Amino acid sequence: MTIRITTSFEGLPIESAMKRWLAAGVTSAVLLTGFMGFLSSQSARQASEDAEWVAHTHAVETSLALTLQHATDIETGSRGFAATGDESFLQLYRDAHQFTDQALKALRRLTADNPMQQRRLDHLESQIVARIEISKTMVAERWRTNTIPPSSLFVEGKRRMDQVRATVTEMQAEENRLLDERTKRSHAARQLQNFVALTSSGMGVIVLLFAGLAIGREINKNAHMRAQLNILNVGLERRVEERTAALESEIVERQRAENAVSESLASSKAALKELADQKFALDQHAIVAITDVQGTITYVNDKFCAISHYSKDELIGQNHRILNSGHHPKDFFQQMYHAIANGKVWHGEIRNRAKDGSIYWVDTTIVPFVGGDGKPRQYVAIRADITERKRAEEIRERLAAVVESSDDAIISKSLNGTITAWNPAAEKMFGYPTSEAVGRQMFMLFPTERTDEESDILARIGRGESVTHFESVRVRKDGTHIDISVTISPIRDSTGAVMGASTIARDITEQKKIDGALQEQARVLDLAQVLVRDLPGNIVLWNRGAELLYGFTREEAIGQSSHELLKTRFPEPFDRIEKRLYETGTWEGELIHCKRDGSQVVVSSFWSLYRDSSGQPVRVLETNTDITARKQAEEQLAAQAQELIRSEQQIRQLNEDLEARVQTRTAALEAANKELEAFTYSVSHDLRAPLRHISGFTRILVEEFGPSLPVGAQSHLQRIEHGAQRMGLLVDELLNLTRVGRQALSIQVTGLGSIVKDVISLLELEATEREVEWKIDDLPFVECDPTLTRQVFQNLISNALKYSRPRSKAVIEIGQIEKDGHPVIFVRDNGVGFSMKYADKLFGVFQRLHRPEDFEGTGIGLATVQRIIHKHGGQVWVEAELDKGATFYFTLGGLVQSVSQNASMTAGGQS
Amino acid sequence: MNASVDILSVEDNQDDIDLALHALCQGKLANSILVVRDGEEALDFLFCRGQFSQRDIDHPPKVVLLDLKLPKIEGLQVLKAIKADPRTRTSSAVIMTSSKEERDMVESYNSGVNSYIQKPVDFDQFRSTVKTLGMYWMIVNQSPVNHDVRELGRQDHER
Repeated sequence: MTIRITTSFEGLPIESAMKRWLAAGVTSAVLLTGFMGFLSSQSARQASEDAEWVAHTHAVETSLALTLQHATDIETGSRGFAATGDESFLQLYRDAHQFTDQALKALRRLTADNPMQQRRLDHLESQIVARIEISKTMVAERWRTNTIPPSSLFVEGKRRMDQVRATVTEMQAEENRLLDERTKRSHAARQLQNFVALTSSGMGVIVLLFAGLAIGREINKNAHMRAQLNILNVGLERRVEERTAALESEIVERQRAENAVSESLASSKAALKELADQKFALDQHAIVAITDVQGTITYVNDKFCAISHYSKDELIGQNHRILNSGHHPKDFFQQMYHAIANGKVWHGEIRNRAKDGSIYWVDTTIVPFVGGDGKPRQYVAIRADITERKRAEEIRERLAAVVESSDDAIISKSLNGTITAWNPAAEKMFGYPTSEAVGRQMFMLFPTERTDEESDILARIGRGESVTHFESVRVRKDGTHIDISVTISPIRDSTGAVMGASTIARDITEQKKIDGALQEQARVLDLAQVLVRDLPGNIVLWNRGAELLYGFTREEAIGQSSHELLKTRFPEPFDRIEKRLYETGTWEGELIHCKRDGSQVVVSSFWSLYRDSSGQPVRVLETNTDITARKQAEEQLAAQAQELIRSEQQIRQLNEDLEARVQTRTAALEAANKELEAFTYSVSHDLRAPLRHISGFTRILVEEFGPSLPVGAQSHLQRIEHGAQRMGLLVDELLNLTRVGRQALSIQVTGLGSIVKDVISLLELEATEREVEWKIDDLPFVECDPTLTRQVFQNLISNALKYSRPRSKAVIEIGQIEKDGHPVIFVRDNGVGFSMKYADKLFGVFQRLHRPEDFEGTGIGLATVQRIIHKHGGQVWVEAELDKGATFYFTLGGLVQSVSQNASMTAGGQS
Repeated sequence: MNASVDILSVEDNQDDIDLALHALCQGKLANSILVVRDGEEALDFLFCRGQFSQRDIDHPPKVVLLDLKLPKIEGLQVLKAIKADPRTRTSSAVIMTSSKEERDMVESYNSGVNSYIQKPVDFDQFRSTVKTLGMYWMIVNQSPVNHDVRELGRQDHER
């Protein structure tokens, strides 16, 4: 608006130059008028008093015109300055002000003869003073505020000016009336004078003529001047009117604009005060800052300092960026600067940082002040502190986010049960999308048997009560049931009246399962001995198992230092234990604890370190297992093991001794065996040779020289030969015996029946002339050395044959009996038998119970039998009775194994 | 020495020699018998060495009677030498000994002995055994004593 006003007065400086010319003209006109008045009065004094009056009237009129002109100039100058602030107007104003006094003084002088005009002049003077006052006010106001003074001043100024004009017009009219009157009077006087002059003096006529010419000239001059003044006056008047009209339209416009700010500005002086009040109020209310186009702060108000914690001195000259909190992205400010740099008002919310680092939010309006070149000169920022609102908004957003992101279904409903809000968790939990759920009844979530529940809940809510952690069942959209825990609270309006309910539901289907598992776990856990202690070592948890183990109740234990309470004895220095615990998170070892009754208990202790979510250790969980009994058992076992080891060592020592002895013995035996072998060998080889020689040469002697020898000599030779042969037999038998002793057994499954059969068939050849009854049982298959076993049977059966020789009928029985579960083989004869008192001699080498004359033999056969049987691990014994026969029994010891046999395979009883 | 020796008896004991010769004479077998007294002499004879160096190796004895216990070189050694050489391998080797030890028998047979006989103490038995033996080896048993075989054997040996 200011700009437009400036534009509409753009031509004024030129006009004011003309004005000055006019003023000069008027001044000269005044001088001229004064001069003319003087001339007029001179000529009037000289010619006609009436003519002086005419001139006087003209002078008055001129002065009036001038006065009006000055008044108009004052008004124009003051209004121009007030509207534009252009000080050139002030010059006009000041000049006119100065001349006004002079013009008024002139008028007072000119009209001193006319009391009426004097009164009007008084009136005019007061009116002009009043008008000047208004102008002064306007100028002062403009100086003070640098803004356009209120329009009321303009209106008042115009009114005063109108009064001035009216008074001037009135005075002009009076003067014109006086002039008319005086002109008429002057005309009559001139006629009279002309008559007097014509009649009195030609000089008088000339003078009168000159005077008349001068007067006429003066009249013409005055008339011309008056016409000019009138023209000037009218032009001025028109221009004042034009400017007034322009100003008025501006004022109306401004009024319209200012109406938006305050309607009260419509009235006159009150509006100014109100404006000042409003500015004060704005400063009280708003945070105001002005920056130049570079953003350098040029003005801040107190509020600005208060919120930013900076002083004015600190802020002014600083760039506004000093307050940037870094919250907004770059383009946020870029957009802002773009807008205001283009002269547009920007509005937005900015987050700033105060000097102390605190954050504040301001609702900001930035108004760019555009200069004559159309570019912003400065920016005025008006802000309001909205930090609290922002905080509230943030809280509200956070709350909304909490509701949105909550795992619990959060539902609001009206008192009649209509769903009004439904969060995503509710969608997930119940299967209804929000669009479907809102507007429907909560009843849809209730199983048919629980519909009363909702009515009860609504009734309670209606009474303002809450329902907390109420466990119930709801139906999902798909018809499945879920266990939930609900908390329902009334929602109240601002007056406190219940308007609805909020329902927070948690799916506890899993929880219920977990609860079951947890209870089970708790029961299981109570079987263990668990304590939890905080880092200083004080017990914070003491379970049933620990109570049972140590005898301290929970109440006694909680809060106590566990190591003091249990008088813990550690297997290693405690700091080392703690070090391991903190390094690895666990420690394991055996501790000795003291029970409540003072007895000691050995526990296998497992510690684990609990950390909070930030990783800080907070608790130690200690699980202790009573291993006292195990320890004792272990100790006993260890003692037993020690004992065992000692025994073992003893046994080993004994074994070693034995081994050594066996080795010694074996070595001795081996040596003896070798010796025996060498002996046997030489016997078999070397002893037999001379026997052969004895026998051989004796034979040759008998054959070649026998007939020539005496009978006695022949008999002796026979005995020599016989002896040699017998000795050969003995040697062979002895060798056989020793061979049995030395020879290793060659064990195989052997049918005893077939051996017996073979042996009998061979022996029968020697007893062809005898009657022998053979009674042969089924004999078993056994594991034995077949060659040696054959020898056993051969020796026993040949003995049986030999000693039954005296019987007319020999009965030889070979069979099997059982004794102690083992098969026993026997060979029985009905021969001469023997007395059992010699039975122990029977198996000795060279032991004989009969004379060689009766029964031949070497006394080695049974010894060989016994040796073979013993070698098999068996036993051999005899039952005999003199003249009744003998029975030889034998077993083949552990080696005798009955093998299933077939009767057909035996040699039984055919002969 | 005789040009032809049918029986080589290796025996250190004079009594045994006499008894054996007695028995062989009675069996009309003693005319082509040579008795040597130890293993070394036996090998000298068989391989024509020492005192027997003039002998023709192509006429080995038909039968070699060996005692086991011999001076200087044991009977088994001699047996092995006979059976190891192709020129003497065809001769029948008979061990005649007092020993009835199994190990002696086993080793003899392993070394390729043709017969193993224990000299009986009873002279009648001894005599009949010798006779049977002599007859058996000299007459009944056709040993491959032809020249071809011996030629082949010698060539093998020389090769």
